[in-house]
Amino acid sequence: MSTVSLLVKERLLDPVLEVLSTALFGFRALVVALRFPYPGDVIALLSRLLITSIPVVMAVAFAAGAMLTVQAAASLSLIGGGPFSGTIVGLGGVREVFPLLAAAAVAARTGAEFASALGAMRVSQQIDALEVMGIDPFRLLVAPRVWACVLGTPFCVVVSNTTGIVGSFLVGVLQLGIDRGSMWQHLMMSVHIGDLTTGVFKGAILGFLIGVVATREGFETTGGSKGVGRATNRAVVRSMIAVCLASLMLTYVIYGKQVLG
Amino acid sequence: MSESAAMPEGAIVLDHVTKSYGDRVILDDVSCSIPSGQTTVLLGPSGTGKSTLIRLAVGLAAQEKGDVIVLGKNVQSLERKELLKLRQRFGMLFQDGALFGSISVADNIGFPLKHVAKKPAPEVDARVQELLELVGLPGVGGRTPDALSGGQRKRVALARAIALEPEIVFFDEPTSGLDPQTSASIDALINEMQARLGLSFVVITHDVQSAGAIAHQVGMLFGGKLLAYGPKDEVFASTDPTVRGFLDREPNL
Repeated sequence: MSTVSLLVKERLLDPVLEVLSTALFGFRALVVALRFPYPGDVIALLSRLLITSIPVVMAVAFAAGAMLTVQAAASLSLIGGGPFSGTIVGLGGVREVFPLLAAAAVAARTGAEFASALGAMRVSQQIDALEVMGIDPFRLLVAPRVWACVLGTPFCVVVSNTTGIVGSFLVGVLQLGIDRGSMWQHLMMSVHIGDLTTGVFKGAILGFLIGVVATREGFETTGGSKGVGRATNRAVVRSMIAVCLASLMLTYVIYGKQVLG
Repeated sequence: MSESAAMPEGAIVLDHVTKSYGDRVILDDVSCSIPSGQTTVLLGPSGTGKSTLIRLAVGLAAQEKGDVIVLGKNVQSLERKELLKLRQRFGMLFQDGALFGSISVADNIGFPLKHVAKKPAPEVDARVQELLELVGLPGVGGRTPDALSGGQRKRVALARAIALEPEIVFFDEPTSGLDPQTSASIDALINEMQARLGLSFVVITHDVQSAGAIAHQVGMLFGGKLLAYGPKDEVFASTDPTVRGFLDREPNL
C-alpha cells in the first residue's frame, strides 16, 4: 500500500468507519435500552454516577461561573456595564457552558469508569462467559449504563447551572462589588424556564452519547490490560468530542433561528 | 485420521470447517464428530486453533467455510435469540475462570440460575451449596474470587459451568497455570464430574499428561489441521511423525 493510500485509510477511512460503527452500536443500545432491562442495576449505576460526578460538576461549574463573571465584568466595566455580566453568565452559562461542563464531568468521571469496567470484563473473558451462559451482555451491561447516563446527566446539568449561577453571583457581589440586587436581577432576567428545560433535554442527549461511546469503547476492548487503559483513554477523549459536537449542533437547532434569524 | 462410521452420533459435528484471521489460516478444513457423554480432548501446541474451535462451537466466532453443528443445530445459521437459547445448553470453563470479580463466589455460581433459569433465591442458594460441595469447596461461598487460589477459581468456574445441568461442557485449558498437584486434582475432578453427570466434556489443552488422564477421545490439532482423531489409545499409539513428536515430548505419558 502506498504512503498516500495508507494516510487516506488511517486519517479518513478509519475514523469514518469508527463513527459509523459507534452509530450502529448506539442504535443497538437504543433499541435494547428502550425495553428498560435490569432497572435495579440502572438505579445502582445512576446513584454511583451522581455520587461520583456531582462533586466534580460543582467544582468546575462554580469556577466557570466565577471566571465568566470576572471576564464579563472586566470587559463591560469599560463601558460602565458591570452588572450586565450577570446577563452574560445567565445566557452563555446556563444555555451553553454549564451543561457542557456537566457533560464533560460525567464523561471524565463515569464514562472512564464504565469503559474501564467493561474493558476489564472483556479482556478477562467475563463478557464471553455471559454470552456462553445465554445472557445477552448488551442487555445486562450496556443498556443499564446508557440509561444511567441518560438519567444522570440532566440532573448534573441542573446542579451545574445552579452552582455556576451561585459562583457568578458570589464573585460578582463579594469580589467585584457589583450591587447584589442588580447582579441577581441581571442573572435571573436572562434565564428563562425554557433555557432550563432545554438544558435538561440537552443533558439527556449528551448523556446518551457519553453512555454509548464509553460502553462501546469498553465493550470492544482488545489487547489485555494495556488495551483497557487505551479504551478508557479513548472513551474520555471521544465522548468529550462527541459532547462538544452535539452541543454545537443542538445550539444551532435550538437557538439558531433566534440568534441568526 | 481414525474417524469412523462407528463413532456415536456427535454432540458436535465439524464439517470441513475453515477459519482464518486475516491472512492466517487458523483451522484448515477440519472435520470430526465429537460424541455425546464422553470426554473429548483436543490437544496441540499453542496457536493451532484449539480455542478458535471452541469459539466456533459456542458461536463466539464464525467460520468462513464448512458447518459447525452443535446438538443438532447449525450454529452459524441461528438467529441471535436462538443462539442464546442454544448456549443455555452449554457450560464453559474459561482459561482464567472468567469469574465476576465484583460479586461473591456464591453469587458467581448462582448467576446463571438467577439470570437464565430465573430460579427463586432459596432454590438458588440450595443449588449453590450443593455445587460447592460437588467441587470440593464447601464454605467458600461468601468469599470473592480474588481471595481464592488458581485451582479453587477453576473449581468455582466448573461449578458455575454445570449449574444449569448443561448437555455439553467446554473446558479451555483447565490446567494451565497450575502446579502439577493442582493440575492432577482438576483432572480428577473432571473425571469425577464426567462419571457422575455423564455429560459431554470437550477439553482443549496442550498438556499431554492431562489429556492422558481424562480423555476418552483425543483430537490432535497441528498447524490448523486435525492430524489425528479417535479413541485415546489409538491416537496415543499414532505413528504420524508430527503427532509422535508432540506426544513424546511428554515424558510421563
